[in-house]
Amino acid sequence: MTKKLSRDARQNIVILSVLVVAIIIFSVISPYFLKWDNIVAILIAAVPLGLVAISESTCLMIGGFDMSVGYVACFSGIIWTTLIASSGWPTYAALAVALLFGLASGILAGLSVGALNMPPWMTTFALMNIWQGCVLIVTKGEAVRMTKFKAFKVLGQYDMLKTGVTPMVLILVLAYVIMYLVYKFTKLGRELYVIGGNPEAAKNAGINIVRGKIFAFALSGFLAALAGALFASRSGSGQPKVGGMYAMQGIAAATIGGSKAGKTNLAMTFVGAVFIMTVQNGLNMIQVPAFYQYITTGVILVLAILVQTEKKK
Amino acid sequence: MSNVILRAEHISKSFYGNKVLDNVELSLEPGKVHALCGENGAGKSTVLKIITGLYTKDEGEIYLEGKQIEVPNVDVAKKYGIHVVPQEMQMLPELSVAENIFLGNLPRTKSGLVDWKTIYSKANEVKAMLGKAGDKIDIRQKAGELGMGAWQLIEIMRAFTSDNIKVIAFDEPTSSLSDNEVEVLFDLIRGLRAKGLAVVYVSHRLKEIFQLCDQVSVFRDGHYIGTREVSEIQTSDLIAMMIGRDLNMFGDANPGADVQAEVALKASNYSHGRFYQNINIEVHKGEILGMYGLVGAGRTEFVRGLFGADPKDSGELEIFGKKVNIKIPRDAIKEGIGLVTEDRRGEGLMLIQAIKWNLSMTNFPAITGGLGMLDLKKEKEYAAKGMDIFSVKATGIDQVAGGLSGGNQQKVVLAKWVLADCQILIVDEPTRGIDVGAKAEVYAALHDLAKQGKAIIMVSSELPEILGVSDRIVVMCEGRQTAVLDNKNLTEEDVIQYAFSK
Repeated sequence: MTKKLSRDARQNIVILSVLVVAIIIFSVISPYFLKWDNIVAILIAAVPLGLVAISESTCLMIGGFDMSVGYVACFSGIIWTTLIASSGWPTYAALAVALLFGLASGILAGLSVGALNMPPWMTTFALMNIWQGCVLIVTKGEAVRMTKFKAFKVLGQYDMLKTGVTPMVLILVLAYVIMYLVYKFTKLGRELYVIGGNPEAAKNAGINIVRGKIFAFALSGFLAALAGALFASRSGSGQPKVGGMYAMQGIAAATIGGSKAGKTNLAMTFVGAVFIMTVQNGLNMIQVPAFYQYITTGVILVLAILVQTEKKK
Repeated sequence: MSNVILRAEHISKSFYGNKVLDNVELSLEPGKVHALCGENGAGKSTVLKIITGLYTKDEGEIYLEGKQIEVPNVDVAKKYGIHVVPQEMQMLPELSVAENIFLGNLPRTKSGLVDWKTIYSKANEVKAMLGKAGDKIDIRQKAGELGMGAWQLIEIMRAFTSDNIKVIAFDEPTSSLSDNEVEVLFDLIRGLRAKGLAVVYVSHRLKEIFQLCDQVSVFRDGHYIGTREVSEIQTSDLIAMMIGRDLNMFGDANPGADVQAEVALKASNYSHGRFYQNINIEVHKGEILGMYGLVGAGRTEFVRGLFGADPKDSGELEIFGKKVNIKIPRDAIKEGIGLVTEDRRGEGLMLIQAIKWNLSMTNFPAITGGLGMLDLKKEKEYAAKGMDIFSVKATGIDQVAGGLSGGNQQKVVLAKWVLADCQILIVDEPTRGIDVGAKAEVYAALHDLAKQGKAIIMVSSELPEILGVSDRIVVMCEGRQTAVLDNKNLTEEDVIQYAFSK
């Protein structure tokens, strides 16, 4: 007798099949789609989204979500570039400040949600507005130009072994591996599942809920800042208008991956992020006009999430 | 058996690969109340849900008046005249009774607008069909202003709006009703029987089966055991059919035998607002202290205060002679106290996660190594041990907790504290809503723990349980402690007199 697959496994197979079908369709229409250069391009484009997808996956798991990731990412990129270009800071010291900013923003969100019991929606939406405002004040809406600064571009643009793969891809892989290990093998990771799975049970089991929530949002802010920094390095400038869609796309990727309160699957979350970027890239490749791309992306997301939705018995 | 209106044969059903019904049958006769009886997880509710379209069967046939039918959903079942009053009622509290009656089926005028006149006149018609039971209901009132008893009447009125009622099924209808409401409901069901309907009745309460029902079908572990005329059997016959063995429910309790001299927990002058005032208790090692009282007596609030799950105004606590200050559950757990809450689904379990993860949540110190890393091998061993102590019925430690029956869920909640090796275990209504077999296993486990020298506080509203299990009994009434009794030769009356205010 063959072993019956669990519901989760069946859903994941469906998602992967949809991805494969999409890839086949794109590659049939555009011969360029499956070329190595394009695959690398998709991977690199998926790095910032891949990171904020971990953020959202973690926040969803504890029963919240983080609307602020987009503008934490954006402001992080601006902090990094501005400190280098305007204040003459060393590249990596400036990067450390940008990442610390993300961490601080996350801790602030975690404290508000965890200790003060503020709703995640309002808290992170407020933060999102604040950082968006800061970006506009600092940049006056103009990109920070970084043409002179070579070291700044290493993470996003250095071609490793002539493959086209840049260090940011490695950072993404590393982030997924580390977080996978944290969720699977650490007490802290498991506590996050319990906090989302049943907050009352977590409290009665003596689990420190405030600490868990602060950790989740702090991680979310940190990874968002990292995403923004890597995007800046890749694009070679500090962009004040990037990141608007990160929160929504990150939540979509995490949901495709099956994350919800008390549950997450990082491997599938990664697939979710790649899924979204593949569709965007593929639609470009087969020259679907930009306006129709929005509609197509929307429809594909609805279909993917439909698979994840609980069916009534 | 020529008089059968609905017959189900060879019905099988699986959830999560777990066979919950295996080749069962059921025959309903018009003008009879037919009880479905069995332990939790025996399959009685599943049978009801399959014939009424709430679940779909995997295998088997259903015949209505001799003709084979399929009931893929509730709407089709209704068309055949098969109606259900489900355990979890669907009610929109902000809408009126009348609107709730016609929910999803609002009469319209020719122009497609809601026909309010017809709604109210028809609602009054179906209300009249309830007879006396309907007196207290105003059809224009919001459903949210009415109690569970009235909601049940609304569910029944929904069935009455159909021209075609042959079978009506009740799933644990009395579980949330007061005694008065139960009487009203029983009268109504007797009325339905008199009209010639076939009534299906699922209940845990054996007493009700003898009060109300004509026939009873018994299920055990998803199998059909048999059908009897209620007039021809006794309670003991029914229990024997349900569990397939004789059962000394409470174990060989010899009150006081395991109690040691050392005091494990001493609480003095515990008060919290209007919930409870000036409570003083002492529990010894090896002792089971029963806490009895009516609903609202403040027992749950008091033990939650002890554990730090809810705040308290005042009170001193000594654990093994040492003064401690407990503000949150984490403090209590550090002192070796565990609490099994009243509401296991809401406060005890992660329903979407595996049994082993549920067992680990109170148990991290034991399975965590250096650097906060979990020892997954040890976790598995612990989980297997926990399942073993309480003989949890499941496909394995990886089964999702939400897929377990109520009794098995409760065993998992108990097991998670036993694994955590707490010295003082507080259990609040440990057997509520679980079947006799699981109850007996819970009692046996509590006695075992007492033998090992653990101190146990058991809050319960069931007197037989309090008398059968406790070494001493604290009685509470309206927030006050009214008696502390040694459980020697006590009768129910001895205890219950302290539970009522004078």
